[in-house]
Parts: sequence; C-alpha cells; structure tokens
Amino acid sequence: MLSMRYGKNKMQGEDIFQEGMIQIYNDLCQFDSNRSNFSTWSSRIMIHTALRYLKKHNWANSFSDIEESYDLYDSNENIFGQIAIKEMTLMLQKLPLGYRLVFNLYAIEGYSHKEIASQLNITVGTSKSQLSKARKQLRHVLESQLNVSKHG
Amino acid sequence: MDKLDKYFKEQLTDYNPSADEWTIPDEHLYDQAKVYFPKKKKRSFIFWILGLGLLFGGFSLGIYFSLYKTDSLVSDNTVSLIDTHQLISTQSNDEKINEEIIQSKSTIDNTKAKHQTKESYVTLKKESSTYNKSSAVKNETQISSENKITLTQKTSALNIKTSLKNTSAYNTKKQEIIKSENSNTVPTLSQVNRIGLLSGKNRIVEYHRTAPIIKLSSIEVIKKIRPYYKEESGVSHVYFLANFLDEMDLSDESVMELTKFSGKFKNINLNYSKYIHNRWSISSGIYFTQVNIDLNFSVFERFTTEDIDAFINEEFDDITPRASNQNKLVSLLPGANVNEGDLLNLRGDVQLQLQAIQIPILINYHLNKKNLEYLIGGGLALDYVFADQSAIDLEIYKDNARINEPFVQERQKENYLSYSIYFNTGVRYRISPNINVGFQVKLNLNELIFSGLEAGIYYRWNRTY
Repeated sequence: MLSMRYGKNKMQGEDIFQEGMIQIYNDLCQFDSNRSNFSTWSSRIMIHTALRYLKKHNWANSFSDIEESYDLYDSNENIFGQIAIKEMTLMLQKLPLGYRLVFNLYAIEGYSHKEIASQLNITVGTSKSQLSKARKQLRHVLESQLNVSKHG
Repeated sequence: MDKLDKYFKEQLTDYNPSADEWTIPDEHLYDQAKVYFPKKKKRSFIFWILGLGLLFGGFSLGIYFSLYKTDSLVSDNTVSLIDTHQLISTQSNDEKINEEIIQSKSTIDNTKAKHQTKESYVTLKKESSTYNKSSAVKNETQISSENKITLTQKTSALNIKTSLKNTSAYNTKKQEIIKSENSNTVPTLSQVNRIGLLSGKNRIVEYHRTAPIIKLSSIEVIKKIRPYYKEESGVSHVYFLANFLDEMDLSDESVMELTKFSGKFKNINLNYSKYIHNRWSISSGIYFTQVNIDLNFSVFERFTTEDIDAFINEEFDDITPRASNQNKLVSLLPGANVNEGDLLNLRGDVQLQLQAIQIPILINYHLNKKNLEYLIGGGLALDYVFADQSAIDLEIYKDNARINEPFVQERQKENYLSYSIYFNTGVRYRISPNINVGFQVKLNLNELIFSGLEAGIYYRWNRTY
C-alpha cells in the first residue's frame, strides 16, 4: 500500500515494494523491537527504498515549479467521504513526482518540511511550495471526480 | 494540518487490508523478492557424506586408540611389574649387602682389636727393653720365654702391620660412611660399593636401582607375535546414504524452490580379501546395486529466451544425466515471450532406475587390537551401469501461466561402462577366531549415490605368523 502511494503507477509501486521487501529482509537482523514496532520500522525502510528508487529513476527536475493548470478550489468536506482508498491512491500516483513525494512525506508520514528538505536534498521553501501545489491538484481532482459522479 | 492532509492520512494509514484486497501485493511480488534474499549456504550432499565418513572414521579411530591405550597401560603395568620385581630383588640384595656390611664391620672390629694388640706389644717391647737395660742378668728361661713371646708377637705384628694398611683405608671410608649415616640413615649403595667390599653382582644391583632403565628388548619379550589370516571372504550390504533421504524434501522455501527426492536402493556385495602383510590387504569382489530415484522439482530461474535453451542443453542435462538433451530447443507458446531478467518457474518430474555391477580393487590398512580391528582404505571400481530414465515433461511457467509448448523427453535406456573411486573406513569385530562382523563407511567419490554405510560378515582362513 505504502509503495503504491510513492510509485506513479502500479508497476512502479510493485517495484518499490519488491526492493523494500529485500531491504527489510536484509536489515531484519538490525531490527530492535525495544526501539520501535515492526510496522513503523518496516514502513521507514519502505519509504527510504521508495525515495532511493525514485531518485534512481526520474528524480531530476521533479521539484521544479510546474505550470499551474488547475484552478484553486476551496476545500469541501463533503467530497471526502465519497472516494475509495483505491481512488485516493490513484490520485496520489497521478501527482507529479515532486508533489507526490512531499505530500506523502508531509501529510501521510508526518515528516516536517525540514526533514523532507534534508531527505530530498531540496530547500524547505521548495518543500512547502510542492506541498501546496500537491494539495491544490488533489483538490482539483477530487472536485472533478465529484462533478463527474454528480452529473454522470 | 490541512483537512485534505488529515483525510488522506486517516484513510491511507488506518485502512483495513482485508476490506480492500487490492492493497495486498500479489503473491508473485513476494516470490520475486525472495529470489534476491540472501541465501543460506546450502550444505551440499557431499558435505554430509564426507562429514559422516570423517565422523565414523574418527569414531573408529577413537575406539581403536582407546583400546590401544588400555593395552599400553597393561604393558606399562608389566614393565612396572618387572621394575618392582627388580626392586624386590634389589631389596633382597640389599639385605645381602647389609649382611656384608655387618661382616665388614666385624672384620674391622677384629682389625681394631689386632691394632690394640699391637699397641700392647709395643708397650711390652718397651718394657722388655727397659727391663733388659736395668737387669744385666737374665734368666735364660725368661730370655727364651721372652724370645718366644717376641717371636709370637713379631708374627702377630706382621699380621697387624698388614691389617693396619686396611684399617687405615677403612678408617677413611668409614668416616665417609659415618658422614653419610648422619645425613641418611641407610648408606647408599654407591657409598657401600666404594668401600670395595661388595661383589660385582651387587654393583649391578645398584645400577638397576639407581637407574632402572628397561631395555626395549625386555618389553618385546612380553609382546605377542600376532597371528593373522591370509584370506578373507564375506558378504555385505550397503545402506546407502540416500536411503536416509527417502522422501526427502529438498525445497528451499526462501526461493520457493520445491524439490522432492525419493530413492529406493537394493544392494548386496560379495567380498574377497588377500592379506599381503598382517596390516595390509588387497580386496576385490562384486557389488550388485539397484537404485530407483524419483525427482520432482519446481525451480525458479531468471532467463532470457536463449537461457532457456542453454538450460535445457546444459543444466537440465545435469538433472537427467543419462538423457541426451543436446540440441533440443524449447518452443514458447504463441504470444508468450521471455524478457531479460524474467522470473520463470520450471517444473518437471524425473524417474530414473539404475542397476550397477561393480568390481572393485581396494587396498586396506588394518590395525588390530584384541577383537577389534580398524581399517582404512581406498581404490577403484569398474562399474557397469544400466540406466532407464522415464519420459519427462518439462513445464515452464511465467506468472503462474504455462508459456512453453510441451517439451517431452522420450524414455531413455542406456548401458555404459564407468569407474568409481572408493574411500572406506570402518571397524571389524571378531566374534570367533575366524568370523568377523564389520561396519564401514564407503564413499564413492564419482557416484555419490553409491556411497553408504556397509555392514557385513566375513570369514577368515589360512592362519599364519
């Protein structure tokens, strides 16, 4: 599931999952149950694997500002309850890499901008900017889906 | 935190996987990942066989040497017994020595008494001289009497003079003894010998006592001349190591490889040995063996299309060594393609029957102790093998779907001549003067499948020294 959020499609998600599994297996001897629980530890490894994987593939220029092609939409609470997890994951996958990474790390994993900046080797400002744009795009997609479901 | 963020976080972190099965990764992803997991080093079949052989050899040697040590202890005890006996005889000799010392002392005392007689004689002579000077007239009878006394005393003096030399020497020696008596209650034999009063025999006794060197020749007298039998024949059965693997599951779960092996073995060996020395023998005979093997495998490999053909012509050939797979190519089903690095699953089932007649020539080294005999040896065997391999259908799967056209290998029969290198080690136990039972590990270094634990009964004849 986690790996799916980081990949741009199912195939990339599976690749990340596979590499993450290998990494978890290799590092299993380093796992200390007194320090953290297994899911937290393995999630962290999976995230690092995902970052490493994406860095290897199409990392470059992912954090440059993308032309805003979506209108800014006010948040609407009503729309949230109407989408399934799979669709949410697909939405995340459709985000540009930079947006996707920062949104995943900040909004879902709970990293700070400073930590994200350090992890992705970008500035804190870029991280904030990418997050903001990711949110806008997600809202736009959500609204679009809502409109489709209303009128369709 | 933004409401959107919060919603995404809640939904994507606290989800129930069972409710949304799509979130559970496909099984093949685990399988693909497992291929790259660090493999535990597999201990090969040969490792177990060699390990077992060494263990058994070591165990046999241990038994042998423990018995050898016991025998050595008996020998040592015998030597000690000889030594004790010598000590006893030394003690009895000491008694003789003591007697001689007493006698010597007695002689010395006599000499001392004679010495005192001489002193009295000198005094008497002086007195006599004084008497002669003071008295001009002497009674002839007195004179003759005096002369008579003088003559007797002269003779006595002569004796004393002779003894005096010994006495003087004695005094020196005695002082030495007295000195040693002060330090040791009993004088040492060397000291007594130095007095010069002991016989040559007693000197030898002292030599034994002070330095009890036992010559090897004296032990060799105790050692038995071991008889041995020049010929031996017997019948034995090898319990093949692969018998232990009956229905063995060789699967490697870490890479999802399933390999099941089952084997059935029959064997009987007729042996004949000729001893060329009490420790060396040459043995031969005839071994009959029948092996039925069933190998069921499902292995994962990463192949390209070329690799599949290479596998069929090389690696698969190792699985089915008696079949001729050369130049056979695998045809993929229409639409199926294999890309570089694709993980394929190869499945197949092989049944193989081998019948072998072997004629060995082995050289053995024997170490005997009591009823137990340790032997180690090796040599060559000429093998005549009949092989019968069942038809095989090799199936290749990708993502759990078969991708190859039926690849059927016809049943194959073959007779061939080969050779084997044997190494054997084990023990024999004598249950009667002519009959032995034996257990030994036999390793066939060429055809490991013919390796095993041999148990047999042997008859020996033609006894010689």
